[in-house]
Amino acid sequence: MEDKNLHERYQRQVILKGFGAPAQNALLNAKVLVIGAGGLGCPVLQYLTAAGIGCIGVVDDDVISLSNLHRQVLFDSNDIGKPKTRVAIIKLRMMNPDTKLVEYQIRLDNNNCLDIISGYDIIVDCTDNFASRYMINDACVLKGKPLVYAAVSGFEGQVAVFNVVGKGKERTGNYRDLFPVQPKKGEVLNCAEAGVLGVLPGITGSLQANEVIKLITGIGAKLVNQLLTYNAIHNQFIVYEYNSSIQSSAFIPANETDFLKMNYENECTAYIDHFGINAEKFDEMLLQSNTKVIDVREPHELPFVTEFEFTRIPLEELKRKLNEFTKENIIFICQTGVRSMQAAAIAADHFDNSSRFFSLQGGIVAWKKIHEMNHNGN
Amino acid sequence: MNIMIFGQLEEITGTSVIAINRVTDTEFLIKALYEKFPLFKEKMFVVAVDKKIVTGKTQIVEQAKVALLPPFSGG
Repeated sequence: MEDKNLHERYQRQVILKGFGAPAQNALLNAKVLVIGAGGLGCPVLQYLTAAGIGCIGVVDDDVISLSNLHRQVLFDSNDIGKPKTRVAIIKLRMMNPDTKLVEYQIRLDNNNCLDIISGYDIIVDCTDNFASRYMINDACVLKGKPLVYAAVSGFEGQVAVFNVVGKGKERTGNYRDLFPVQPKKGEVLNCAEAGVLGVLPGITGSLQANEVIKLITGIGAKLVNQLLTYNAIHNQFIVYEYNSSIQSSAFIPANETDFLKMNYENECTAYIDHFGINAEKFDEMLLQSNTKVIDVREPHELPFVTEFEFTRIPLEELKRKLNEFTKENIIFICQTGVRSMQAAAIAADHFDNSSRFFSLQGGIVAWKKIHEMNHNGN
Repeated sequence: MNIMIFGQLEEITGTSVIAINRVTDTEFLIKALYEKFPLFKEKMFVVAVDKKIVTGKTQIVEQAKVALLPPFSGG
């Protein structure tokens, strides 16, 4: 940072105690991906660009509409109908021509997500739907990327920092440790349905940008294993603590191949509420003579099950073979509990009866971990 | 015991603080909530006791600060 303009541009933060040239250089060398250029994305992009982040990727497939303008403050009335990424980048370039801005005018999905996030140091979730939030969380866990999360509703916001390397080099908690599975569709209203105060994503997104800057520069306390809630009506900030859990980690695809197979748009807890049973209940039901276990994984999939008897019917073949099971209680199992949920839903639908179909929550991975822990006396 | 309500759960309760008596643990709390506000059965939320998000059956002492936190999707 020898250039005189550079020095002057960032002078007010460089002179801060504990900041200095090293922190500014860290920002100048950082690559940050901001997913969503809406209510949260606008302040995040503005403050990160102004702060001198070296490279920012901007992801959004939407165009600007009139109802965006009360909160998406990068855009003005002349921008209606134009792509958010294009307009955001034009305005951000004027703000700070030294920041490299990369446009992704696309919707993030299983097929492009891992590739895109792998090119960045920190990922910022400014999206507006659960499917994207869960997908981004899982992708960040698989790729080992820190994720700065925020979400808003009405007059309230939430902020958290997920999946950074902790003291013992293990990764800290992630979104699924807070909320293991997606709410069912319609269970939680989005901004379009529930409304949002314009300034709320401004405040919440600024908090999010602050966490990004602290992560990059190493200054201050981060919201690691913590969920910050902000209430604009009561002027109330509360920080809640949470722990990582084995049960919730089992919902994350085990590898990139499994990630590609996930159906985030349709993954929801509607099935879990009706069919899910935990390891304890599973063990209890195993002892009952009218209970049958069906593994819906493909034959080659790990981990192998040797602890109890089961029948293997891969999910794709399930519909054809369901009529063999007309009376008994069926517990479906799979690796992490996602396919078994689908299986239970398919069976319940087939027989128009949901009372005798169950799904092992967290799958065989979580079940084995729990038994190992019990065996070790933890 | 006063319970703090967050997000759209407030639309069910009508207020950001509700009172539930003789709460001993989270299981009792959830049961009491479902009885008082049946629509809670349709909602996802986590329980925080003294600013710690808890999972499984957790004891709640009389002086504890309890909150119900739902996920938000908006951005």
